[in-house]
Amino acid sequence: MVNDWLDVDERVAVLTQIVRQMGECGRTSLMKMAYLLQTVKEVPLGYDFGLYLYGPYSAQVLNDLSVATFWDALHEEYYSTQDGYGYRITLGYLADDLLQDPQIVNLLERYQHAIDWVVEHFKDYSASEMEAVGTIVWVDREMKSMKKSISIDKLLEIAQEIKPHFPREKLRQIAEKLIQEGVLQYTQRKAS
Amino acid sequence: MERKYEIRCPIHGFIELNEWERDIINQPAFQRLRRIRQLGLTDYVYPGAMHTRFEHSLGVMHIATRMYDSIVARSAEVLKAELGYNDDGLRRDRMIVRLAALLHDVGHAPLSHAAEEIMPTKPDGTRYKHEDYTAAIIRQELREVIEDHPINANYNIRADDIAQIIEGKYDERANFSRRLIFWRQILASQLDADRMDYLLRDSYHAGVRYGVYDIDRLINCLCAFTAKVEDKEPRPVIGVSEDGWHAAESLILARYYMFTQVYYHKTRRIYDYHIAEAIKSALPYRGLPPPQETQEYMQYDDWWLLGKINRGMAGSHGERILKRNHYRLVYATSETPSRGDIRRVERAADQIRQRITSEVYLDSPERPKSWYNPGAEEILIRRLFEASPVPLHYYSHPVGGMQGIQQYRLYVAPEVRDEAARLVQEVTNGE
Repeated sequence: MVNDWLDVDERVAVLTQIVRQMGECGRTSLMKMAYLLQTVKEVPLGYDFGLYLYGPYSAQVLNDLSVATFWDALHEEYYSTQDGYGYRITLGYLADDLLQDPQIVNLLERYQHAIDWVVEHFKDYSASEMEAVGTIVWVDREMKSMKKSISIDKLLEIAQEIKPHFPREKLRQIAEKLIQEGVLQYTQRKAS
Repeated sequence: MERKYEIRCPIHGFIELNEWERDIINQPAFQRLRRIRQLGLTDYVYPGAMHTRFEHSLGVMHIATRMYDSIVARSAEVLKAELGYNDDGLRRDRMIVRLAALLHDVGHAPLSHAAEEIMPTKPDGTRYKHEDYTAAIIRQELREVIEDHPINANYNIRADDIAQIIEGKYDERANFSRRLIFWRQILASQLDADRMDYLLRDSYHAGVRYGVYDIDRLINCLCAFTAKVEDKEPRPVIGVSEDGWHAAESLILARYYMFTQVYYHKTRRIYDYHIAEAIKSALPYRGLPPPQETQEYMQYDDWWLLGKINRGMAGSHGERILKRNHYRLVYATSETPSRGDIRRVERAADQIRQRITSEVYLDSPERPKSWYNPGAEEILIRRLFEASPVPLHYYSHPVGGMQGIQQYRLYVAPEVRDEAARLVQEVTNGE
């Protein structure tokens, strides 16, 4: 698979298509959606995700975002609030030029189903909830490399370490939903 | 009372060690770093750049400790309130950070990063990285000296604790906690001990001044505070107090200059390609072993590779290294190419392959560890008069305006340089 990763313009197109279907989003949502596309739907984005302060993270996603803004496919705006800050990502004025390129149209056809899935399922999630989703899926997939399964209680315990102030019951609801939808592959409802 | 040892470092002066750390350093897995050059064949351009991962690793441990101590001194209350620390906890995690910093590079392949693109693939199709080899070597080769050392009776640290903080993965054998995720910022972020050391060290040995920044000021301004990003719950982060933002800016600019002037020098880059190809030729058929085969992997160091090259056993690329007869640059895009620029250079590479020679190499930002990336793990600034922190670019216009370098470069064998250059001109002008 090493040679089958998407090229930079193809990755940028995937990110742009996500934003187009979302209308607008923040960095967290874009990061976690890219993570889900790669991890759950096996879209070969080739990002190298590791655990960071806010769950699974790859600097390469934000690097591609920076390319996307340089190409004016996406537009990113910094905002501050009383107690924090964030970024608002919207379509750039050349987004259509990229998305209507015949090579990109072909590519998106191939992955449109996956993009639809991630946007439809998580469009209304807040950044905090998306972080919870990404973190839960990350813990589940860590079990894959260890060739083990994990009980939902243990999974929630680990996820709670990363997100200590997120309500446990809400974490559980998200995990249950992800199990129901077949997203979690190594998590069992009962203790293993 | 622990006995202390000192090693003299050209960058930091005396670096202090305890007996435990000295015993770890004396292990073959760590001594091997004396035979892994920090910057590959950068000495082909900057002859002084002959330093190794050994001295860099000691330097990273030294800086990581200074960072840790500075943060604890300025932000003990935050660490206690947000991460539940007491003094014993802080003392233990200081040791984990020291050891992780010391060992963070033990998994490097011959001549450092150049070999990363020939590392074997994992079952999911991605390549192993040197961090995977580092973690395996810590768990397999260094477990005993870490876990059974008498000094560890005071800390109860497992090899898995150290491997985990380096890998950024979950390990059920280790103590998984948000404390380690927090301290991981010292090892892997925009503001980590690794780059704080290599910028100064690489500058010093290469004989340039591009990587110099005010490390003392920067470390003295490090602190921990809570930050709220988007609507996520506030989380403790490591950042810089407002009076240190210029020092943080100078680190970012130093890194940019080092990439453009040293790491990304056109001749240095092509030697990374020749190194990777020479290693492929010198290795047995199956290539580098997977990380769990640590004993075999550790045999591969610079002495092994340079010996193979010297004996003519590293193929045509080994021969080119021996004679300093590298491929020559015939075309380069701008640092931030458009899609059209990328297509043109890719087409030119195809044309050269079809019409002139197979000895062509397109160096692209897709290759691992190749290009400068301003990074997204933003450096946060704690403001003096406002409660909420802001990212560095809020203050620094140069940092805010920086783009990642995405340049593509096309190289060919020197024997066909002129012919290839003419063809490239045809292709790039003909559109």
